[in-house]
Amino acid sequence: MSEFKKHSEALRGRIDDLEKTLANLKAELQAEEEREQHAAIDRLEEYLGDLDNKYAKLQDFWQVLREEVKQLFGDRSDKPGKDK
Amino acid sequence: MSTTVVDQGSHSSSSNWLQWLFVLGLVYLLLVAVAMIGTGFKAAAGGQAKELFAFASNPVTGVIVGTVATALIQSSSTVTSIIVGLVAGGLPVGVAIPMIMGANMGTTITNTIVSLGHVRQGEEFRRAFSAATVHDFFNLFSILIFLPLEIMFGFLQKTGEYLANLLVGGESMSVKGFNFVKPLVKPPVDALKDLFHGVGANDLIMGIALIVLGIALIFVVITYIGKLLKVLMVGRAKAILHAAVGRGPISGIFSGTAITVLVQSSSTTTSLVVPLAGSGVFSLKQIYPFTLGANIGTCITALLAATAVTGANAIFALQIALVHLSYNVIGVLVIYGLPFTRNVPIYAAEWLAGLAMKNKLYVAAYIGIVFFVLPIVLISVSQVMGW
Repeated sequence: MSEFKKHSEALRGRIDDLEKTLANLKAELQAEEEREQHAAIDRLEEYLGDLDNKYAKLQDFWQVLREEVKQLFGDRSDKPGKDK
Repeated sequence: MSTTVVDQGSHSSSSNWLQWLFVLGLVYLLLVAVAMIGTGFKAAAGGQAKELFAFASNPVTGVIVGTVATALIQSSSTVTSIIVGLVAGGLPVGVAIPMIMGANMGTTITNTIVSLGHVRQGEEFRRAFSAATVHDFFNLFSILIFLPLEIMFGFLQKTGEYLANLLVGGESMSVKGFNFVKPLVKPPVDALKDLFHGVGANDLIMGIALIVLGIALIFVVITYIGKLLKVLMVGRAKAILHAAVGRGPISGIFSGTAITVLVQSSSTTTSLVVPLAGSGVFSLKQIYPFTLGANIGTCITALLAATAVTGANAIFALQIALVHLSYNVIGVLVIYGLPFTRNVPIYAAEWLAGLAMKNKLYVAAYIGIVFFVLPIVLISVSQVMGW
């Protein structure tokens, strides 16, 4: 067997091994993801209960929005002072 | 100890039975409410139903009316049931179709508000907000594609008409002359009519009172049905979701449809997936088909409402309910079915979520403009221009 054939066969063997490893890793990742998804679905009651707190969510968002707006306009008004 | 367990089991099963009976009673009240609106509108408007809704005869105004009404009430089932009742009272199907499209859009505000609960969680907020707005963008693109087509060809109206005729053979919704809903729904509506006439109200006052009471009743009934079914169906919903894991987008669409039929609320279904996406356990691509299924599942309420309508307009009530179903099914087939349009809502939702991460003003501007400012501007412009 020529040197070239030996080398190419060895490379093919390594590629096959890598492909098998890759397939195994993909299957492992999918199984892991699906396990997490099933666990999240098991918490559905918790999410359902949380749906009724829409007013609290809006209030929280409003607070964050006010902070960001204050920061945005506060930063702008500070800038000339910083330059001095 | 085993006796205690058995006692608790029988107690919970009897309380379940009671809750199911309550759901059944609420469904009956929903049918009565739709019949009240239909009867009231017919009495109040007489033959002038079309003229009364002349302001909404512009399709864009119709979409806006549907969007704003649903965004304010936060229930597309309520709005579509009211629309079915109005069609039963003489509102032309052609005027009602854009309102139905708007109801689809308006309902998306609920899961967007739910996603705001993640606002302090950085990346989690980005994922939750994009999972919520993918539904918005899908419904928005659906309107942008199908409203012009409907205006030009009336294809949804024709599809609804064809399906309604296919189902009831062009007659009213009676089966060989026997309508099983009529004897159940007519007595309370007749009793209310007699009551109003008894206190000296004319047809106009009686009609308006029936419409107002019907709308209030639908709102209360759908709120309580939603609350009860959430409790009763959570186990079934979990089983459906577990079964859909790892099975691809078609299974996602079917499970979204099934859960929405079970809980009778698309906003519950689409809001439920927001925390699932926010946690990063489900990707946006996995959540997206599920929200499309919610669009299809929510049509069951309008179909149920249509069974309450009797008489000559029953066919039109069924027609608008079938238009709702056709619109949502065709929307999924076209936008999700075509590879080049499928991911457009995903890109749009991710782009908006990226902006939302930079500044929450974008979020406030988005909600304010899409659901409130733009509708008011469009209605004002259409009135001024006399469209």
